[in-house]
Amino acid sequence: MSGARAARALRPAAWPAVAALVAAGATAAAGPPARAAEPAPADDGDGYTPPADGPGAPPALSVGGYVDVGFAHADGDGTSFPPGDLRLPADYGVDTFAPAVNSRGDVASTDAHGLPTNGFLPRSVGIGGRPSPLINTVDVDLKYLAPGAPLLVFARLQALPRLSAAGDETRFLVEQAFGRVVPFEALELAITVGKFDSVFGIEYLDNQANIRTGITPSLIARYTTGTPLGAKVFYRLELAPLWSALSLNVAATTSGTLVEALQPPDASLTGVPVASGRLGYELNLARVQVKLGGSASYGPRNDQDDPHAHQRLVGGDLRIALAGFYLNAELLRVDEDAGGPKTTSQGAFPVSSAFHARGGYGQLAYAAPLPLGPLRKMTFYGRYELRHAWFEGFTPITVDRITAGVRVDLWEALIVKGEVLFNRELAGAPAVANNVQTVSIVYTF
Amino acid sequence: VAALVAAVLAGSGCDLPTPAAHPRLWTLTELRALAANPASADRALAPAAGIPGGIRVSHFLTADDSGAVSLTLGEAWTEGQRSAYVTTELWTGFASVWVQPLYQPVVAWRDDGFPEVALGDDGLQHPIFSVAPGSLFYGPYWQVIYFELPPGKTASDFRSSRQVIESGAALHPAGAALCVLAPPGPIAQPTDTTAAAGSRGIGKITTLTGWVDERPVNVFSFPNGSFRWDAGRVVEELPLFTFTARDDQGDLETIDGVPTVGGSGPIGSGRPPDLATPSGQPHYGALWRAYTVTIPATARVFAPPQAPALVGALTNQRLPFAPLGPEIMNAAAADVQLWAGRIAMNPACFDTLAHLDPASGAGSCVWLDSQAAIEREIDGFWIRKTDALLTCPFVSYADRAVPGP
Repeated sequence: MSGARAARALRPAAWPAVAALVAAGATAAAGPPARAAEPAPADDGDGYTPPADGPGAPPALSVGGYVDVGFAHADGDGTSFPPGDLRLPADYGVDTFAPAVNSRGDVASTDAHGLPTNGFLPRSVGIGGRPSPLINTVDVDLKYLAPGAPLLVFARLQALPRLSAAGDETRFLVEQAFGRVVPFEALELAITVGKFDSVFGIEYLDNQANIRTGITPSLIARYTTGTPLGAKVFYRLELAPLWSALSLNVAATTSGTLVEALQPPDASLTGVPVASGRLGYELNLARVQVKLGGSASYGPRNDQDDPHAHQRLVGGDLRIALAGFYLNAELLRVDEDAGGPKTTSQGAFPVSSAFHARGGYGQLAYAAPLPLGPLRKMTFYGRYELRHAWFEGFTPITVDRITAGVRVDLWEALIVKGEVLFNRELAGAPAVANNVQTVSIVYTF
Repeated sequence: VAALVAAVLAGSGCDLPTPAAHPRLWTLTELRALAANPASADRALAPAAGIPGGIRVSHFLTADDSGAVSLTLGEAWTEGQRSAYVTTELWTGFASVWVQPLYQPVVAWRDDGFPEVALGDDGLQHPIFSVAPGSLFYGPYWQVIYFELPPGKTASDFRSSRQVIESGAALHPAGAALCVLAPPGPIAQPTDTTAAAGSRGIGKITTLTGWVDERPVNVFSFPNGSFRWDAGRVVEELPLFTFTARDDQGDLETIDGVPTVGGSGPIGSGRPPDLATPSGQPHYGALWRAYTVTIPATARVFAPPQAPALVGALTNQRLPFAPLGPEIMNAAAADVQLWAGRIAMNPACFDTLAHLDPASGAGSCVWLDSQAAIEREIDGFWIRKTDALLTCPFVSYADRAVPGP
């Protein structure tokens, strides 16, 4: 969609149009009197989808989830703030997301030593530079399959025990809550309304610790892996003679695709939705699988109230699976206009500055099946990522990161991961000790 | 279902933050471009900030017929004295402005504890600034951070704050510096074209070049120590009072041609002005919050015929005049100049020259020419905080040049 067309499509009256679309989907969903079973969810693009039902009569309501127990140590004081740097706001001249310690992208610390910040901060586990065990996430998934209806209701509830210098900062989060209708048995078409995974790129597929190959998200995940509120439509078309498939995933949501720490998803601050989408192609051969995608997002930034302050994201992604090797790569460009005073999930801030980012990553993993007793699989992986970003009028900063790790799958319910992150400030930001060593033990139930 | 979904989506609009003014900053970069263009040289900025009619570009910079741009001299009363200032920045939509670090290389520390600043290859100081105009977080309010030059390094080796921090040099936080970063191209010193010219001193503003992110930048440097900041690095704002009145149509207008009043402390604080001893140089007056003061219907501007520009301005605004006594009508210009432009609560005092001086006792004028007088004479309801913050450093204080000779 061109910028001009998107702008026309996103007039302030656009939310009713979204509602009408959803209503149409729901009406269609009411058509078939019953269906045999939920179609096998696509493994691409539809975000987290509960596993397919097996034969027999599964209970309408099922409970699952995971517990992610971590242990992390970050160099320095656990932040990217260099001692002696008094520039304000403190979070504009460094990459505060660099010292990530878990799959949520939480960092070891965001303590700016009393200097004012302006809302470009991740969530923190508050351990600073001290090694510490952590409960990263306690996740409970509730899934309800409506008997006799093509409807799935899903809620993902998470507890995030946290401690900071200010005391207990434990949060209870509705990470996802949606209803999904598959209106036509013959079509791989799903309409989802509620709070759900992003539709941009591929990294959101790995949001949860029990799914992600490694532990920490990439340096660009903050822009693409949010869980916004709204409606989305997923359509996948098999091209069997070509061993291929096309998929389209489009959404109209509150906050676009940015994570909640940067843009609050739980309400629209502008009254105008953000349009996002990904067009994907996949080639499924016997020995190799290739997936390509292009994503875009356009609409008002949801950390301020001016509907004319837009954000534009474009990206491309690639995945190749061959002989146990898995290559994932993604490129991203982000541009945000200046807007009004900023509101994020972490509070109110003076200014939503114009902002620009360019970045990408490539991750190569090798999974070795090792059916030895409880051992199921060992996966070795490495990732390189680069991010160049700047706030209006501020020094552009360039950082990169090398991540290496190993993952061990035991039985079907236990994953042990260890990872090291080497963060480097290449330009703009002062070099600072902010490398990370982190471990994650994920129990799935 | 549609109604439910629509209700859910519409419900997301409840209890959202109230829309606030967009933060906006005008620096000399934008102001110079506006002033140099005849079509915008008299444009009113920030018309919705709470100052009737906004603030005109000509309040900041003045362009002559050849297009040359100079800082505009503004007039103010401070503690009943005549003062003058220049205006270099305007913020709207900001609750506060922050102090940013400025780095200065040091080669040695003198016996008196003051640093010996390292000079560049040209023998001049070139401070290193950390934020440039173009960012909404730029401000001319800097905390000087002295850094000790590492062995083998010279001042010319440092041109960005990143280089300073990465060098690991010892840092010594110091006091306040007011340095306005200016765009390329000349901006001339202010010119005193008022009747007071010749009878008061106007300081010469120091100009130099500094560095920001390894790029050279022009700088207007004002005397150090003219502002304070708190633990959150928020610069203290002082009130700058602008008078408003209702014209004969009942519309509220800013009274043109009348000096503002510079306060010496937060509203209601009663804080006296911070002055150096014995020089009398002000250690305040950098960041100002504009307040409007709507004068009572009975108050009048003292506008004698010896001040024709002022009379013309008031006439254009259709503001009422108070009758003047014959002694004043026939007085020499020099005898009334000191009082022209002041606002009296009791314009009956315009009957004799003696009554113009409050020291004359009964029947003398009660002027609104200080923060204390305004807060004493005007009901607080008529003193309104605006959304405008301004940088207005003094270049003359109580008729003495700032900085002093």
